[in-house]
Amino acid sequence: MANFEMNKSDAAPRQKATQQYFKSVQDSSWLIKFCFILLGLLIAVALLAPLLAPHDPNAQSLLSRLRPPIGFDRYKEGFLVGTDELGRDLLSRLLYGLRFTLLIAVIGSIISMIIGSVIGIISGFVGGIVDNLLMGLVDIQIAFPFTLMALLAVAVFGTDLTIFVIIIGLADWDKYARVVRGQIIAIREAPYIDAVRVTGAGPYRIIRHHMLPNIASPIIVLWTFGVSNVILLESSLSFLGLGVQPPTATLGSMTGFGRDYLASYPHIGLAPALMILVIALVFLLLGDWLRDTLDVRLKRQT
Amino acid sequence: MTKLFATSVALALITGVASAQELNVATANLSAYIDPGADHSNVGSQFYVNAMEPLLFKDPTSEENIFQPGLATSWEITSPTEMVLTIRAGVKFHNGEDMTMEDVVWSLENMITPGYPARIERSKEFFGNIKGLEIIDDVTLKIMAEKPEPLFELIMAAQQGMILPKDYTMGLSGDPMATEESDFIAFRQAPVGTGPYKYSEFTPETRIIWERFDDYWGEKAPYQTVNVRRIPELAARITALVNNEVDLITNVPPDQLDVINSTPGFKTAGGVTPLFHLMYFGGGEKGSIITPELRKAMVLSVDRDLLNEALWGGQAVVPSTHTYPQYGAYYTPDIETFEYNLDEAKKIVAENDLEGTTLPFYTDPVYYTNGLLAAQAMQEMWREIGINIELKVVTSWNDPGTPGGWGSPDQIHNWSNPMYFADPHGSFGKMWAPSGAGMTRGLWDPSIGMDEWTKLYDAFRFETDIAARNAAYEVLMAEVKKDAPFLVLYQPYESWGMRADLDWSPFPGHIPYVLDFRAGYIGDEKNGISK
Repeated sequence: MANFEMNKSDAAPRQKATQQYFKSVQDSSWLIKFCFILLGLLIAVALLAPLLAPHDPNAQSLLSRLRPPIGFDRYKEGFLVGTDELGRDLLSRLLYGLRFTLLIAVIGSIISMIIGSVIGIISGFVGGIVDNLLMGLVDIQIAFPFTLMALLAVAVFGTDLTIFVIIIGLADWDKYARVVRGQIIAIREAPYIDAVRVTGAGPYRIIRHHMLPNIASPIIVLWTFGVSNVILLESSLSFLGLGVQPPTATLGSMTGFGRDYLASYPHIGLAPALMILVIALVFLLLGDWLRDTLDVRLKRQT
Repeated sequence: MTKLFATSVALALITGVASAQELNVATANLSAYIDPGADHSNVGSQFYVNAMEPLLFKDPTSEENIFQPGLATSWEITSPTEMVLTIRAGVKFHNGEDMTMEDVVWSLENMITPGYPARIERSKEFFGNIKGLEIIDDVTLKIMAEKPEPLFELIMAAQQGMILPKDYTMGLSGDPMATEESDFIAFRQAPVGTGPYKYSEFTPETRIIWERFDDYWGEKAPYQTVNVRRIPELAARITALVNNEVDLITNVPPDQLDVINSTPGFKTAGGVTPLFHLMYFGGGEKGSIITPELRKAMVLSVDRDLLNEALWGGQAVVPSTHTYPQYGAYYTPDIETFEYNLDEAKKIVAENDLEGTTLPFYTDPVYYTNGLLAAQAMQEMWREIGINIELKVVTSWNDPGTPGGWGSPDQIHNWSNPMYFADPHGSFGKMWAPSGAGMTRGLWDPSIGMDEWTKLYDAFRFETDIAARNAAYEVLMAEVKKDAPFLVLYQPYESWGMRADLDWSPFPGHIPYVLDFRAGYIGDEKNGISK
C-alpha cells in the first residue's frame, strides 16, 4: 500500500517535468527548434533510406563515373547529387551512409554509456581499492591514443563490422565512468540515501531505484555529446580505411574515398563531409541545450 | 663596370644552379629492403638501376632486346650452353673497393646456388638453368648452362644479376671471411653497388637518398642528390608536386591527369606498362571451395574492356592471352585465353550450384594503381553471377601467414605479372613455370599434374625454333584456359607527374617502374641538365 502511494506521488512530478521540458522546447531559441526538426528529419531519412533512395547504393554504372550534381555540365538525369568514382548514385549512398553511420554511432555510444556507467557506479559506490583500480583503468584509457588502439584491434581481429562497433563502443567509456563516479560520490552520503539504507535496502535497490534516477540527466547529456563524438570517430576510422569495408557506404568512408578527387570532382568528398558536419553539429547543439535545461543549478539563477 | 656586374650575376646564376642539383621524388610505395637478388617487386624495381649494375645493360630506350656493355665490356655466346664475358677494369664500389673477378663470381654464385633463403625463388626463376662458372683468367669468365640457353643475355642483364661487393657484404656480420645469411640481412639496410649514385640514406618504406658517386667508371650522375620519399596518399602526392615540394611523383591514375596537366608549370608522362594486373583465385589446394568451375565462371564474368574504358579511359591494354608486343617473334596475340562471356559464366554457376558462394578478396588500398576501384567494380560483376565477394582492405595483404597472405586457400587476391625480360619466360614463366613464383607459392595446382606441366613447360622453354616455340606456348595457354588459375586484367597505363621543365619519361626497355636518373636519361632545365 505504501508502495502504491509512493508510485502515485512519483508520477505527478514526473509528468510535470515532462511538461516542463516540452515547454522549454517551446521557449527555446529558433536554432534549437530548427535542430529538433533537423534531427527528426535525419532520423526519418535514415530509417526510410531504402524507400527514399532512387538507386541501389552499390549498383555501379561504370561508364558514367564522376558525374557532377544537378545544375553542372555533364549532369546525368536521375542522379541528383552526381555519381562517385564507380558511377554509383551519390544521393543513395548518402542516405544509406547516414543510416549506417547513425546506427553505428547510436549502438557504439550506448555500449560506451553502459560500460562507463557500470564502472562509474561500482567505483563510486564501493570506493576504496576498487575505486582506485577502476580509476586507474580510466587513466590508462585516457592516456592511450585511441586511434592506436583501434589500429591494434583491427590488426589482430581484422576488419569486421561487429568488431568495428565494439571498438567504437570502447572509445568513450572513460568519460561516463568519471562523471558517473563523481555523481555517485556526491549523493552517496546524502540523507535520503542514508534513509533508504536504514530501511534495509540492498545495494542493487539503492543504485537502481534511488541513485540512477538522480544521476540520469548528466548521463543523458553526456550521451548526446558522445553520439557526435562517435560519429566523428567512425568517420575518421573509416577515412583511414580501418572501418566498414567497401562497398558499404558510411559517411566517413565516402569522405575518405572522395579525398583523391577533391581537386577534380569535389562533390564526391564534400557531400558526405557536409552531412557529417550537420549531424555532429545537431547533436552537439541539442546536447548543449539539454544540459542547460536539465541543470537545476542554472535554472535557479534565472 | 656593367660588364663586371653582368658577369658576376651570370656567375652567381651558374653557381646557384650548380649547387642546387637536387631532385625530389615522391613515390606511392617504397622498398622495405634493398637486395636486387631477392627482390622482384614493382616497388623494388624502382630503386636499383641508379645505384647497382649487372654485367650487361639492356638499352632502356628500345622495346627490343638491345644489349650494351655493363660491368662486362664484351661477351660472346660460344656455344648454346656457354657464354664468355670480359669483366670491366677500373670499376669501384661505393665503399671505395675495386670490383674484381672475385666479386663477380661471388655475386653470381649467390644467385645460382643461394645460401640465403630469400633468394631461392629468384634463383630458380632466373638462374634455374645456369649450372656453374669457370674463371678463365683475371678478366674472363665463362658461364655454363645445363640445357641450351636462348636467354643468356637477358639473364645477365636482369636486376637479379647485379654485382655486389663480396668483402664488404661478408664483413657485415659474424665471420668476415664467410658468407652468412645474416650478411645479406645486414646488406639489405646498408646496400652498396657500383652505379652512378650511392645510397647515402635508406630508411625502409620511408626514404631513400642517393648521392652522386664521384668515382663512377662511366658518365657521372647528373644530380648531386636525389631525395626519394614515400607519400602513399595520392591526394597528398599531387599536393606535394604542385606546391613544389617535390619535382616528380609516381602512380598517377588517369582520373588525375587533368588535375596536373591543367596546373601551369606541371605535366604528366606515362605509357602502357609492360606488366599485367591480374586476379588469382585461391591457394590452388585440393578441397578448396574454389573449384576449377568456380574459377572459370569468375574469369568469364569479368568485362575487362569495360574496366579499361571506365577506369583507364580506354588507355590500358586488354590482352587476349599472357603476351606482350615486346616479345617480338614470340608475341602471340592470336591465342585467346581469356574471354568475357556472361551467359557461359551463368550457365557454369547454375550447373555446379555455385550461386551464393562467398569469398574474401584481400587487397591493399594503394599498391596497384586503380586496384581498389577495379576490385569494387569486379565485385559487382561477380555479384551479377551470384558470387559474393567480401572486400578486405589491408596493408599487410602480401605477408605470408596474415589473412589474405600468400597461399591462403579460399580467398581471391590481386597480383601483377611484370615483364622481367622480353620473352614469355620472363613474364609468364617468371610466375607460372614449374619453378615460378606463383607455383612455388602454391597458387595453382595444374589439373594435369606437376610432372606433366613441367614437361610441357620445358618443351616451350628450351625450344629454339620460333614457330615450334610459339606452338608449345599455345599448349601452355590452353592449360591456363582449362584450369583458370588466374585472370589477366590489363596492362595499366601508368603516369608520372612532374615539373614541366623536367624531361623524363618511363623507358620502354626497362622492367616496369624503374626510376632511371642516370646521365642521358633525364633532362632538367632548372638544374641545367640536358638529356
